[in-house]
Amino acid sequence: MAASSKTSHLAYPNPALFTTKDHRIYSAPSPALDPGPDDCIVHVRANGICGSDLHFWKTGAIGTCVVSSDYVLGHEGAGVVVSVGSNVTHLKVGDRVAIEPGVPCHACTNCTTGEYNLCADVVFSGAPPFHGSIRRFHEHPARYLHRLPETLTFGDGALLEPLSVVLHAFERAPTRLGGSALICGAGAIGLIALAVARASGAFPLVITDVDSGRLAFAKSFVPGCETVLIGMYSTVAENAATVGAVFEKLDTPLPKVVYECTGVQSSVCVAAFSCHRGGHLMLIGVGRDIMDGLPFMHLSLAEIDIIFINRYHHSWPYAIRVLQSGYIDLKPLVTHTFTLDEAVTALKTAADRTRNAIKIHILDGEL
Amino acid sequence: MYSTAGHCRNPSLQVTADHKIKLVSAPRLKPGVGEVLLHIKVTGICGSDIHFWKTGAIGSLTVDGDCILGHEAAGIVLEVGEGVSNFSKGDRVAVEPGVPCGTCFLCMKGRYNLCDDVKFSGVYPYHGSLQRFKVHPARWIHKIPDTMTLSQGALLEPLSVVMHGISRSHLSLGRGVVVCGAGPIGLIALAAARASGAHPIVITDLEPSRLAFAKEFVPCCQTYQVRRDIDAQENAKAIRSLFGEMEYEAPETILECTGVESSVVTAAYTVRKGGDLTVIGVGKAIMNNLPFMHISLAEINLKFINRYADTWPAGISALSGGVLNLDKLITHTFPLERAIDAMKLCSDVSKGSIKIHVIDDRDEI
Repeated sequence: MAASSKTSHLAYPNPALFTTKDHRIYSAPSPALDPGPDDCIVHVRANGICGSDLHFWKTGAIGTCVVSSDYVLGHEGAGVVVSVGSNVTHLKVGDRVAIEPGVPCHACTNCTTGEYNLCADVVFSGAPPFHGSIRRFHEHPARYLHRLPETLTFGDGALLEPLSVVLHAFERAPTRLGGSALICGAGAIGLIALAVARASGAFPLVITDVDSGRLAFAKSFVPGCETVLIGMYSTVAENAATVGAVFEKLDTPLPKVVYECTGVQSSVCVAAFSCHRGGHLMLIGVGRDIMDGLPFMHLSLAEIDIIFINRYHHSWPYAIRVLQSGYIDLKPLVTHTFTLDEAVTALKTAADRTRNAIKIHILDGEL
Repeated sequence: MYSTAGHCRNPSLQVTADHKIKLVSAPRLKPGVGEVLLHIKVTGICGSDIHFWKTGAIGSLTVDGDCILGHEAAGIVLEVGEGVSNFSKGDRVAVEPGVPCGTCFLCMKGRYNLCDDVKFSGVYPYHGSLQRFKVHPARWIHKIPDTMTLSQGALLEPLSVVMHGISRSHLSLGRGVVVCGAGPIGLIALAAARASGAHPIVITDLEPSRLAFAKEFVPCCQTYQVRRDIDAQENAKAIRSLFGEMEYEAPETILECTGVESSVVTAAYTVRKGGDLTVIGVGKAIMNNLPFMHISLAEINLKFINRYADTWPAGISALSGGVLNLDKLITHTFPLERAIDAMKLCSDVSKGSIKIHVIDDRDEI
């Protein structure tokens, strides 16, 4: 195993994608890296862009995470280890790894009871103020770098993070073999949920969206699913009736779990009316701080429980196994790729709905 | 022996209190209130049918007189009784054989499979489906879509056993599993585990030919031939090594489908700490040699199942949706008039049958 060496990453520039408090994005050299003995430096070969990156750019905050100074975006990364800290024994230079962005404190009650995703002091790389991975070289605790098998590409490695979000949702609200599934929203997360439901043996599969182009993509991504176009100007009752009619046509009762992947209030309400009595609403999507208009008595009388997720825990090994098994292929979701120098264009493309991007990857070639 | 000339005759395969089976005529009953009369087209034979024949008992269930066997059935509705509005003549249905009381606390809790007063078709004194005409409560038959065959309808019962076992575990996408036993239930469990996205999957058995079939049936699985010359812990170590070297990588779920003591003990040493060992197989009344302290220190969940509850709808979705295909497990078919030969073949382990279906192809007026 190579001794700790800081020379290779210092020999190259380290461009990074920043966002600012006043809603600008720009490419500039990353702040200097200062890895400790438990850290590694990774040459990040692939980064996915997430809706939350766009949100931090455009609105400057998600919940209590507020952009108060310039910081580097990105939390869906994978690459090659170029430097290891003196305490690191399980990784060496040259290892291909995926980056699990959230580093918890390991000492609080949440951490010690298996829910480290809920750690209040988590250092989440890519959420302000912690610098993320859309840069050439990224420092990260070795403990949260997961070795990528040879059969997975860096792009696959970068997809492990959104896949982890979905796997965590399915862990909290499983759908079993032969169970029906309803997924609200055909963006990247909704499409991954559709694929995970399929691979879990769910049938029939129904997915909704307001955009017929996205539904067409869903149909080609997971053939055999049913798509439902939600009317942007229809009422919740009208849209719920449309969804209900599809299940009737399929001669299947309403699903026991609805995976809501938009975070939009009207969609959450439609989901509430599309769920089987005694079932679960799995809210994956995130949205506004306060949600009004929830059909309280409908949910109460039907004992429909609302379950939430916040990121994931212990998911990378499963996500890696899932991709290794070949049961799911998420590569078709990567509709656009850009180089690291084009990172600003990449983010702008992600924000431009007319470009119909699903998942955008920023790739940096071998040095 | 029996004349096939009269289309209204009801040939039935019955077991007797003195360990014999016979093909005799049974009455064609009329459906009462809430019941339907079915033309049974397909019945699968189960190891328990053979066991009732050869030994006359399973646990406290004893064959005290003549009883028509058969509980894995599908057929066509011929007549509906009073009060039945959701079925009509010609409907293609699968039969859920257990008819619980509906009022005891177990039924009310949804665990109707545990009802003490269940009338289970094919278990004395309740006549089963190895006959041409059978009456059954409408509440316990399930319509199957045109995309499903009646043979697939008859597979829903053993599939239900497996699905109930899986529902009591945490088996899911990307998680490892071991299936112990490559008999019909083990093979269904293997296919169901694959369809649920489990990975890696290992199936174990003593017989190489059964493992070869398993590998062809679900190619992505790994097989492990259990060795009689080493003990349970050694076998467990070898099985675990197929998953990886670390505790983390050990299989979280084991679907034990043999009911054999040594296999259950091996499974206890194989499953990951905190994992689920679900014993689907049935066996001797008393089991010895359970590694108590090992199970205790590892917080292993040792679970059991008894039949199933609320599984037909999901089974129908899985089979009709093409998520799962068990057709290859039907290795032999016999007409109803040759049900005795079907039973004999099933009881002869050397013949290597997996699932035998007794089929009554005759059309009804």
